[in-house]
Amino acid sequence: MNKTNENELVKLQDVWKIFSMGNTEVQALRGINLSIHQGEILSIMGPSGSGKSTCMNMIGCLDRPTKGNVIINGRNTATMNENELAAFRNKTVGFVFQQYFLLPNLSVLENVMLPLRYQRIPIEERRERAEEALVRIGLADRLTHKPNELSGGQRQRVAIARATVTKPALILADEPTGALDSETGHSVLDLFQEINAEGTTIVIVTHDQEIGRTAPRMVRIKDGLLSED
Amino acid sequence: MIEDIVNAMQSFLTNKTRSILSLLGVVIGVAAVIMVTAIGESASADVKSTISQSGLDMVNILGGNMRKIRALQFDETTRREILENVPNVKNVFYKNQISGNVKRGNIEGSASISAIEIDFMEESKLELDYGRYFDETDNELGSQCAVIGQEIATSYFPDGDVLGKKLTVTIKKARFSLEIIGVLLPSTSIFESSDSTIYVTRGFYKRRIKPNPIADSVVIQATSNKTSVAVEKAIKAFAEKKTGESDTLFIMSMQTMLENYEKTTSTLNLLLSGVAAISLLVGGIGIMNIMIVSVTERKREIGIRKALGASQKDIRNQFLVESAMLSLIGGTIGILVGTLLSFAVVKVLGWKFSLPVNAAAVSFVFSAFVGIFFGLSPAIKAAKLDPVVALASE
Ligand SMILES: Nc1ncnc2c1ncn2[C@@H]1O[C@H](COP(=O)(O)OP(=O)(O)OP(=O)(O)O)[C@@H](O)[C@H]1O
Ligand SMILES: [Mg+2]
Repeated sequence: MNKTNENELVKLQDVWKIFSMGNTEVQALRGINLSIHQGEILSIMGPSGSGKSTCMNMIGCLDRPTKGNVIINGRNTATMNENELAAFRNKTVGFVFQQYFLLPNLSVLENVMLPLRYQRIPIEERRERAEEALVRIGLADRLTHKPNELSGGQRQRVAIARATVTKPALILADEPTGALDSETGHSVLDLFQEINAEGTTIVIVTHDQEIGRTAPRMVRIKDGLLSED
Repeated sequence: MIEDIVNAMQSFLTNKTRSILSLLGVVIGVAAVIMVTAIGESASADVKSTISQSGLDMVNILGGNMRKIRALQFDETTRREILENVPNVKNVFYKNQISGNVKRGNIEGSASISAIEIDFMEESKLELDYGRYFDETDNELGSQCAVIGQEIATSYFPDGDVLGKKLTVTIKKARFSLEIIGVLLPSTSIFESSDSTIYVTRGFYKRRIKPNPIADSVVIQATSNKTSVAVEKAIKAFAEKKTGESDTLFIMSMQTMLENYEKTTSTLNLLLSGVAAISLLVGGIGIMNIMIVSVTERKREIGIRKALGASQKDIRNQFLVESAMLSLIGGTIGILVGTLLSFAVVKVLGWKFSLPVNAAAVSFVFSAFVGIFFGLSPAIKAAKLDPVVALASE
């Protein structure tokens, strides 16, 4: 079967993603091969519209490929049902979306508590852990605010807190420094490094050369095709 | 679970007007159910108590067809025949009704004069307000005395002093001066319109108006409430045998009447339950509609929750709790509104109000059911959304 390496967390094998709308087709990914190893920091770089976010959705099992295989922990996701994929997203992955995707009606604290809720963790523990994650990222004084009362950078940090609160094995961050000034951007990168030092695998999607280069390993996507340096 | 409910409430609060509008159907449906049952129950309790007050042991032979009643010749011979041949009969009360002119001072009018047998009043629960009933002597001598109903008392004796006073009554061109010996309480019976009646003894009637009279209406008292239906049947058979005709008499025991009433009300209740079910259905469709809108509007939220690891079941339950809560809130408001309105109606009609506990409990459970039933399809739709598509929507 598939040749898998023990420390391969996620493996994309000839992954295609084709969006079809009516009679037009967009080939967002055109046969991607990529292995993500446990404990590494990987940056995915590429121009706008090249397929970075689509690729990230594949890695995080938010979307299924049109063609090809996604293998997580040695299992082909094609054989997994919706519940298993939801559990994988819940326990193993932490998404930091490009548009943050915070729930506007929930407070900052409630947003961060949410992924733990789907792990059926009691509310007291959820609150404790969410507070901890927010303190760590410097938002201790914004717990009861609603997302629309925060600046772009603060929202991004809430999104990061929400992705890290479950202590996932893999963090997928889509343009995590996009809305930040370079100083705050660097502190976010420092935070990722810190988390990585605890063993978490981190994938950072960016179009910023400088940030891409800070990662030990970097891949490039262009027109749905991936190349590794 | 408590958390789900709290979250559902939060989500309603962000959309107050819409949530309230969507409840309206259920509120109206449940309020209608509560009103119908509460008013219906109070009305039937009222009718039942009226029927019971008329004495459930009484069997009324009504003067529906005079010719047929005359054919039966309700005289002393017939009375003896009834008492001898019909089992379970305690009393046979003969009555004669005539109308007469009444005059006192310058107050003049007409009234119905009822010639009765002396125990009739007590046995058919015509209660005295004050004064006394007729006694043996009044009957034997055919004394010119009368017991009158409330209305007669207030119209002819506006000053209130009645006992011992006299009323001038003209019956068939004969003029009598009747001494009032008693006044009855307001009528509760459905067969005796005693309020506007002047009662005299049948002894008086025989002596002064018509010797050897044939009764024009008869009330037969059974030995107990339970035997009254049997008495009713036996009297019917007796009348048929005597006249050789069927359906000679319109006879009804109070007991049969109560049973008939209960039958009609249960049919009516069935009909009303149908109406209630339809209005709840309409309410349920309202809820479904609002849940469909809600799911469409909150696709982004659903996508985010799925990305954070919510399973299809988590999403489905979230929306089910919301629709059940909506419907339950609607149901609760409906119960309150329905109870208040029916209380007002029942009080205005002067009946006794009884809290529709059963209807309230059933409506409460039913509205939860309506919410879950009609929320199911939108909730499943939400659960099945593709996370990427959901995230991409505005
Ligand atoms: N849901 C979708 N339906 C149709 N086309 C899509 C969809 N999502 C992405 N695409 C298309 O796929 C291509 C890749 O999109 P993707 O979002 O992955 O780009 P990206 O590299 O993340 O760009 P950016 O840096 O601007 O975020 C684009 O041409 C985009 O138009
Ligand atoms: Mg992108």
